[in-house]
Amino acid sequence: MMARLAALILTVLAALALWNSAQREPGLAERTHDLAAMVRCPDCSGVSAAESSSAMALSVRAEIERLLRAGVGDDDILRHFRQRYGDWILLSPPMTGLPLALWALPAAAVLALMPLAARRRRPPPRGSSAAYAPVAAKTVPVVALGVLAVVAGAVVIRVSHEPARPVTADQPDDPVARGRLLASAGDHEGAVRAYREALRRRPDDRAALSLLGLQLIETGRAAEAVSLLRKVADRRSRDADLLLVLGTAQLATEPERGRRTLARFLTVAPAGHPAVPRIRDLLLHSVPRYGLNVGT
Amino acid sequence: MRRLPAVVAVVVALPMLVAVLVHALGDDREGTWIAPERRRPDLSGHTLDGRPFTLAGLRGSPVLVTVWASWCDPCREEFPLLVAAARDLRGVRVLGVDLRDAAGAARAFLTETGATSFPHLSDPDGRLALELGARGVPETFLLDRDGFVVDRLIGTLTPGWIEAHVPPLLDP
Repeated sequence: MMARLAALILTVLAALALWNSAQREPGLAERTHDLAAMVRCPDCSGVSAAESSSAMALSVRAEIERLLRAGVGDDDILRHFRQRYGDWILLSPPMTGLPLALWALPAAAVLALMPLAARRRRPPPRGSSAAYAPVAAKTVPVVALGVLAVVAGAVVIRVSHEPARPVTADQPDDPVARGRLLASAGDHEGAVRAYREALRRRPDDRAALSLLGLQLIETGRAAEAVSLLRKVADRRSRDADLLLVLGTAQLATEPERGRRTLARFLTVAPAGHPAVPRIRDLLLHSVPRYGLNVGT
Repeated sequence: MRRLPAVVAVVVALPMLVAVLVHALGDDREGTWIAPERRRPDLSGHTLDGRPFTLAGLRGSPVLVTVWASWCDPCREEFPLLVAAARDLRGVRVLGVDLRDAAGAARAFLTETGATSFPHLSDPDGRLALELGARGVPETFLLDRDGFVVDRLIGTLTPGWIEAHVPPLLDP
C-alpha cells in the first residue's frame, strides 16, 4: 500500500516537474539564440547568425537582443530583417513560386496516380497471376529514375556545398583577419584561438605570431607570450614587431630583459614605426643608462 | 496506359531532380543579391568625433555610403577612391559607417587614409550596417536624392563602378 502511494506521489511530482518545465518562458539569451538560428549570417557562407563570430553575425545577435528588449515579437523581428535583406536572410525562406511548384509536383503526381494504382492492384482472375509480371518489370524504371534523382541531388549538394565557414571582409577563411576582428570586438580569447589556428596552418606567419603574443599579453599571459616569441625573436633579431611584442611581454616577467629587448627594437624599427616614440619615451625616462640614441 | 509507369517516373523524378538542383545551386552564391523592398534607410547616430548626425540631413543630394572598419585591409585600398569622390564629384555626398571598431584605431585609419573630409558614423554594435542591409566590409551603397538605396557594391570599390553608377544621379 505504502509502495503504491509512494509511486503515485512520485508520478505526480514528475508530472508537475514536466508541466513546470513546459510552462517555463525561454530567457532573453535563449530567444536571441533561437531567432539568430533562423537568420543567415550576412558575411558568412551557409551558416546562421547563431553559429558564427563574424562581425555581421555578432551584429545580428545584438540587434535581435535589442529588439527583444524593446518588446518586439519574433515574427516582427524576422520581418525587420526581411525588409532589409529580402527572403535571402532567412535560412528557411517561405516556400513560394517555382520551388513550391517543384516540390509539390511530385506529390501531386503520386496523389493522381493512387486511384490508377488501386485499380491495377485489383485481385486478378484465378490462374492469371502471370499477367502481373510485366507490371512489376515496368516499375523498375520508376525506381531507377527515383534513385537516380536522389543520388544526383546528393552528389550535387556534396560537390557544391563546401563546409560552412565564417568569412570576414573579402578574406574568406583568413584566421588572422578573424583574429583582428575578434580582438577589436573585445573577444581576446577568440582572437587567441584564431591566431593559433593561423600558426597551425602557417607556422612561419610572422604577423600571426606577433598578434598572438599581443593577445596573450592582453589576457594576462605574458610569460606564455615570452616563451612563444623568445626563440623566434632570437632568430629574427631584426624583426621589429616581434621584438616589440617580446619586449612588452618581458616587461611584465623580466623587466630588465624587457627594456633591453625594447632597446633592440629601437635599433631595428623602420622610420615612422608608430611605436617608436612611445618606446623611446619609456626607455628614456626609465633607463637612460642604456645609452640610447634617442635624438634620432 | 501501358506507358503509364514511365510517364509517372518522369513526372515524379524530373521535378525532384530540378528541385534538388535549384536548392543546391541557387543558394547564397556571391553576387546573387535579390533586392529587398525599396527602402530609405534611417541612419542616425554620432560621428567618430562625437557629433550627432542623421542621414536625413543629406536629402537633396545623392549619397555614397561606405561601410568600413580599420581591421579591414580592402577598406584601406578603396579609401583613396572615396576621398577623391568626395573631393571631385560635385553634388555627391560621401558618408562612412565605421563597423564594430575601436575608436582609436578608426581615427588612426582616417588620419592615415586622409578621409577626414567627410563624416563617419560610429557603428559599434553593427545596427547601422544592418539597417542598410550590409553583407560585410567593405560595402558601398548609393542613395538617390530622396534617400532611397538605388545600388550597392559588395566588396572593394572600383573607379569603374563609380563612373557607371554615380553620374546618372547627378544634374545634367
